[in-house]
Formats: sequence, C-alpha cells, structure tokens
Amino acid sequence: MTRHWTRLRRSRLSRRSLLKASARAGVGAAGLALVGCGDDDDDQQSVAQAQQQDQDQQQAAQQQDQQQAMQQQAQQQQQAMQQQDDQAEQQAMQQEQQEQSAAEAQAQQEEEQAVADDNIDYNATAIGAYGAFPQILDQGSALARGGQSASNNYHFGAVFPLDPFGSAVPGGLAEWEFVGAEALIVRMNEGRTFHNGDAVTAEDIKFTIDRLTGKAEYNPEYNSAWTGELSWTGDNELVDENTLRIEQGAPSVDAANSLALGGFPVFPKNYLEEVGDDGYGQFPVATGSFKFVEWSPDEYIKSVRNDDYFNDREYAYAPRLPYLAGFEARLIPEIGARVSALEAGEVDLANSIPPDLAVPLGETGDYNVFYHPAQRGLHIKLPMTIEEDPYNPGQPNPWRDRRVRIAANLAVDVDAITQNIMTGRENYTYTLSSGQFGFPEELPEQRWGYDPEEAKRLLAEAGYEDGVETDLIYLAGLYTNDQLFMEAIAEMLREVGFIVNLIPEDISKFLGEARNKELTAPYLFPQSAGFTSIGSMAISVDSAATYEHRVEVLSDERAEVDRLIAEAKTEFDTERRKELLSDLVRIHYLEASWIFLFELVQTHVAASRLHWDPYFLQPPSVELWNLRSMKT
Amino acid sequence: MASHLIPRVLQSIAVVFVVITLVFIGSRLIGDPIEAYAARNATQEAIDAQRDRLGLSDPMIVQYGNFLLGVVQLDFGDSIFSERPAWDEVAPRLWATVQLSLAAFVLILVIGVPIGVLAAIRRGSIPDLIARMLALVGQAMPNFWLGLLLIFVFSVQLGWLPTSGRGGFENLIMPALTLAGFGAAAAMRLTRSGMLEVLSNDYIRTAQAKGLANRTVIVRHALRNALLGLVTVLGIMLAQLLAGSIIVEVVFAWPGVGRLIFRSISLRDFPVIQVGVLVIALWFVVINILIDISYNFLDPRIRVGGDA
Repeated sequence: MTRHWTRLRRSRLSRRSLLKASARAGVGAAGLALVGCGDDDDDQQSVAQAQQQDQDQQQAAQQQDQQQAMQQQAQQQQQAMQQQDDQAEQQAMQQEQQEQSAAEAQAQQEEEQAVADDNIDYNATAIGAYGAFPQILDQGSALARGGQSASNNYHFGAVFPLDPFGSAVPGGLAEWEFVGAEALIVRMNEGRTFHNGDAVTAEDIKFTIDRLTGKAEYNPEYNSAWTGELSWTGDNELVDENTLRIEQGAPSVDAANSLALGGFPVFPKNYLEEVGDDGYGQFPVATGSFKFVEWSPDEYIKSVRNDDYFNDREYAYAPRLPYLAGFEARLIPEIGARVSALEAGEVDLANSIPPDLAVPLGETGDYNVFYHPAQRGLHIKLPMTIEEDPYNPGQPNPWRDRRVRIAANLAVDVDAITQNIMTGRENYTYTLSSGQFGFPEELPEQRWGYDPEEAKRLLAEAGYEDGVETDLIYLAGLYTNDQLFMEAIAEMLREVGFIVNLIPEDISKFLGEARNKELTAPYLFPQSAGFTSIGSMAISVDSAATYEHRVEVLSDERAEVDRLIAEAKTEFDTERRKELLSDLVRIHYLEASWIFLFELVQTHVAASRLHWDPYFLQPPSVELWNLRSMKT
Repeated sequence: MASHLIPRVLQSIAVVFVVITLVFIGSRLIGDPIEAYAARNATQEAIDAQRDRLGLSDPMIVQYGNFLLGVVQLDFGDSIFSERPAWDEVAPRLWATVQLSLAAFVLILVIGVPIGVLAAIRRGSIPDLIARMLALVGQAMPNFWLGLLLIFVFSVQLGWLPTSGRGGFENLIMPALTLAGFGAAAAMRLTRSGMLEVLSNDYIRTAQAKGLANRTVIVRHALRNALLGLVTVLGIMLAQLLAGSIIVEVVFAWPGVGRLIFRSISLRDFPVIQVGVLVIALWFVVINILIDISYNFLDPRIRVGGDA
C-alpha cells in the first residue's frame, strides 16, 4: 500500500516535472527559433573579414587598444555607478508603486467589503445539517457530550471574549483584574442580559463556577464537563453586587482564559434553580449570540439571533452580533444524506463532510467549501514507559530505543498521506497543536522527513534487522478517513521492517485502557488539542489526572521537561511562557517520543449564498455568528 | 380460545423475561458507560462517585434485582445521559418507528401480494419475468443503498420528496419504501409460490369446472389458502420491521427508537437499551399471538384450543 500512496505522490510530482520540462523545452525552442531568424552567412563573413584586418594591424593598434580599454573601463565604472543609482531609483519607484498598489488594493478590498456588507441579508436564516446532536442542551453537563457540541454551543456565551489567537481579553460580560497569583477579580459590565431579559450579575457568575465545580448547594452532584478547566478555582466570594473575587486555589496563568473558552456557559441562577437541571437541559437560557427557541431531540434545534447581544458587529473581539436572523440545526447522521439535503436545497450548510465529497462540490461553483483546522494534532503515542517487550518476554521494549522511534517517524510519509487521503491542507505537527501554539521556529529544519532507507538502517543498527513486532491501535470512525490513513501508516511501517498488526478499537474500551494505563501498544491518540492559549497547553501536557504525561521523554531530560512544564504553568509572562514551552516541544520532538502526524482539517460545505471569513486563526468550528448570507 | 391464549401469554411472559435478562447481562458486557461520558480529565474519585451514583458499583446480582424490581413497577430507571426516565426517551420515538413500520408493512402488502398473485396466474409471461426480476433486485439490494438511491433520484434530481426528517406524509414515502424493499420482494416470491401450489390443487380445478368466475376462484379459493402460509411470514416481517429499521432511520434521519437503541448501545446507556429491547420483545410476542388468532379467521379447519 505504501507503494500505492507514494506512487500517487510521485505521479503528481512527475507530472509537475513534465510540465516544467515541457516549459523548459518551450523556452529552448523559442531561443533557437530567435537565433534562426538571423542571416547566418552574412554574419560569418563579416566576422572573418574583421579577424583578417585585426591580424594585419595587430601590432600597430596594440597601444591604441590599451588606451581604449582603460577609457572603456573608466566608462564602465561610471556606467556601473550610474546603473546603481538608476537601480536604487528604480527600486524606490518600485517600492513606491508597490505601496501605492497595496494601498489601492486595500482600498479596493475595503470598497468590495463595503459592497459585500451592503449585500448581506440580515433577515436571512439558515439551516445546518449535523451528524450528531447532544443528548441534552445543558452545555455545562458532561452528559451533553453525546453529540457535536457545535450544534448547541452558540446559545452560550463565556464571561470574557476572545481575540483572534484564542486568548481571553477583558470585556464582554465583565472585566478582570489579577491580584497577583492569589485571585482573579471579575467586575461585571452594565447592561448585559440573559436571553430571558434578566440581568447577568456577579452572583450568576459565582453560581456558574459553583455549579461547574460541584459546589452549588442545589445539586453538589452535578456532572460537570468543566471541572478540569476550573481546577484552578478556590473559594469565591461576592465583593459587592457587581464584583466577584475568585481565589486561585492552584495558581494558573490560564485562569481568565478558562472563563472565555468557546461554549463556556454562564448560567442564570434564578432560572436554573426554578427549572432544575432537567428543565435547563431541555430549555437553556444563556448569554450566547443566538437564543434557543425549541428542539426536538434527534430532529432539530431552532434558534434566533439574540438582538440584544452586547457585542455588536463592530466589536473588536468575538463573538459578536450574528448576521443571520435565525438558525436551525438538523440532525442528519448519514454523510451522503447530508450532502443530498444540501444538493436538494433543504439545508444550507452540511457539516463535517469528508474531502472526497466536499471538494468536488466546491469545484462546481455552486457551493462554498469551508476548511478549518479541527484542532487535533494527531500523533501515535508510543509505549515508552514499559520496560519489557510485550511480544518477546524477557527482551527490552524496542520503543525505548530512540533509533527505533526515529525509524518509525522516518518510515511514515506524512505529506503523501495528507495529499492523497486527506485535504492536502493539513499541517505537519511537531507537538499537540502547532498551529495555535507555534513551535520553535528552527524545528522544521530538523523535521523527521520521509526516508525509508535510513529507517531500515536505524532499525538494523538498533539490532532489529528482523523487524519490530507491534500492534497499532486506533479508534475506528472517529476521524475523517481514519481507517484509510491508519492502513497507510501501518503499511509504511511494514515496508521498513515493523511487523504491524492494525487494530481498530471501540472508544469505551480504549478510553478505559488508556485511563488505567493498560495500553501496551502504539496508539493513535484521540486527544483534542483545542488549546486556546499557551497556558492551557501547559496544563494539558501535564494532565496527570487521568493519563500519564502526554509529553513523555525517556532521556536524562525528563527532569528538564518536568521543570519546564511546572514553570510554564505558573509563568504569567506570555513571552517567557512561550519560550519555556518551545524548549519543551523541542526536547520532545527531537526525542521522537511520538510518531508525529498532522493536524486534522475539518471540511464543511455550504450553499453559495453563505460566506464565512474566519475570525479566529484556528476556529474550532464554523463561526455561526460570523456566517453571512448574501442577497441573491 | 381463552384456554389456548392463556398458556400462550404465560409462555410469552417467560420469553420476555429471558430476553430482558439476556439484555441486562449483554449490556453489562459491552463496556462501562462512565468511560463513555466522563470528562477526559475527570479524576478517578469523580469517576467512582458517578459509578456509585448510578449503582454500577453494586454487585451484578444486586443490580439485576433492582432492575427486575423496577420492571415490575414499570420503573425502568433514568437514562444515564439525559437523566430523564428511560421510558420518556423511548416513548416519543416509539410512535415514529411504529408509524414507519406500519407504512412499510402496508407497502409490502400492496406491492408484494398483488404482484405475486399476478406473477402466479400469468406464470411464464413477461409480467411474471419482470416480477421475478424485481423480487431478486429487491432482496439483493441493501436497504441503505436503496435509500440513498431514492434520495438521489426523487430528492436531488427530481425534487419531488424531502431527503430526510419526519414532517408530513411526503417525509414518510421514501423511508417506508426503503424499509419495505426487502419485505415486498420476499412477499412477492412467497405469494407467487404459494399461489402456484394452490392453483395446482384439485379443488381449484373443480371450482373452475363449476363455472365460477375466474376472479372468484383466485380471490376466494386460491388466495385465501395461499395467504395462510404467508401470514406467519408477514407477521414476523412486521415484527422485524420495528426492530430492523435502524439503518433506514439513520439514512433518512428518522427519529425512531431503532436509532435511539443503536446510539444508546454505543454510549452504554443501559436503562434506555433495556427499555428499547423490552419494547421490541413485547412487540414480537404480541405479533405472534395475533398471528395465532388470525389463523382462526383465515382457516375454519383450525380450531384454536382444539385439534387442527
């Protein structure tokens, strides 16, 4: 199979090469044709006569030639200087022209934008088809994880807004102030209301945090989905009716960010206590840019624009007042049926469509294809902590040998996979989420490329000429084309000498084994890497609550890694934190602690009237508030 | 009739008991629901607390006892995911599935039986050939494929019918047709073979010799006798439609109980699985009893409670 994928890749390259070659041939032919345009015989005769005259007068003219040469040299120097001046002038002019054209382009873009804004239909509604729905609509509950939260999270608004990088900024519902690493002070902004018209108060924020951390008096057993994100919180108290002081039980650089995460729910205390958890799960009242209207489980969720939303369309951060007047989410589990519904004009947006279906639709010109990173930096986690080889009792675990791990990285042609199986827009990942976090800038130069011969050599050097036997586990059907790309990876590993047994596994079994640290084979790690800040990455890599260190390093640098993680988690200076985590990423990558793969790209298809210019650099889903329906 | 029905009902209760016991055991074997829904960064203490709250830490025999006690009291417990009563999750979807199953069953009857009769009385003709080909195609084509094909033709290309969802009558047509595809083909073949067998009997020739109208011979004498064998199959088919509509419900986004059970299995939502399977088991049992009763009306020679 490797040959199949690489052949495809080579075939593409060879086509490019052919194109280049034919282009070169074309230029060469043109040159020959131009030469051929002159009168060859006349030219040759003139040259011969000149040579004869030169020979006759050679001695007499030698001195004169030298003088002329000196004069020419001086002239050339003058000309060169003149040329330099001209070039400088030209460059200045070009720069000026470029600036002018850039300004013109910007003006044109702004003009087009203005025209486009005029074409936005603010009364339009849209219907989106989703593959799964949550079981209940309470965004705070772990029970709502049964479906795509994207089909519900737009009803909810966090405490703080986000900048395009996904970092929290003061504003929105409240302002913030850190009291060192001791506490976070939250001051409510005026005029913020829930969907039912009730004012959002500091008491509601307190209630929200209490509910999500299992401290709310009405139900301390509430099954929260946000305990991890709020693990930094200690006691919190109302300073006055507009101010809440949240003690940092465990000082966190990510405290403010955790209250700004997409879909973070702020609950109305009075309403929730009135309707209870069950009632809230069926009819949520929140602060999001869309208001919930009604739903039928397994069928639809209807919403309308929250016209009282406090962040207007000119607001600097997100989310903002939506363009669409209303939105209906429909549940269509089958992918082909979702596409058919779009083609039949029954829905305007088909979410999560595999690239092999989405791209041809986009090429028709009748649809817009939306791409965004799925915030999942895929990698294969290697069982490095096990001392003994599970397949050869008594023998050392081969994955503890760095050469074996490097060989595995060299064996996998990630680019061929992304080009031929995925969308081709996936980025190679050097860590959990390279896009949001970034990685040390020099790291791409040290990337483990595709080199099967070197992989074979390394395996032989490590004493595994006969191969390394291993299972390779993945969760079947969790990601787009996962079966395909995992088969390709398995085959690529086999080609260099790994004896791979590919095992698709069930999610419940897998998570149980991972949680109990019972996995003894390499596995495709299914962890979302939706970090909204550098700080959250520091927390995630050190999520010792359920899994081992996700960043595993065997060498002497383990202590250094622990130090970096610990320091990054408490470093409030963003730049310094980035440096710390860059060092962490570098150590981890160069240790080849995982088989590094790529960041998934999510693909959605929309009717041509729907336009989306992502606000976030890495949006977690289609930003519904930012979706525009153009007048037709 | 009562003396026959009472043992049948008691027997059916035993069947249901065995089924729900097997479902109880089976659902515990497929995995731990807490693993499916616990937050990934949940602590072990939080996971244990959830397990205690749902009674999953109790010994299996205690859980089984509690479950049976609940069934007797018609309290099937709460869904682990929605935290609503499991019956409340199943009930609204049950009607959607019954509606779909009944519509498919009607289609099986109105398509399969008449075409089967036509093919039998015109044996060897072009209509017979076409009917046999249709039967073959209908049984060979997977219903998810038939569903997508119908969507493509009637929704995308012709724009006549909605692709999915449960709205009006027009939403019911394609899912019902898809669900009925296999059954109609099977009914067609069974009707045809049954009719051919009956038509070769002496009493049919006698009826024809007596000068009865051909229609009377076919409907009153041949079809009625041919249906006797078909009724059992159709009854089981009706029961299977309820249980087997999952794929059609997924393709057409039909909010039925099949899809709910399927999802509940993947989420290990035990209470919902148990109620769903219990409903299907009851449906099977009731259909079987109805089949028994229907024999009495279809064939006077059969005396319920007496010798056949």
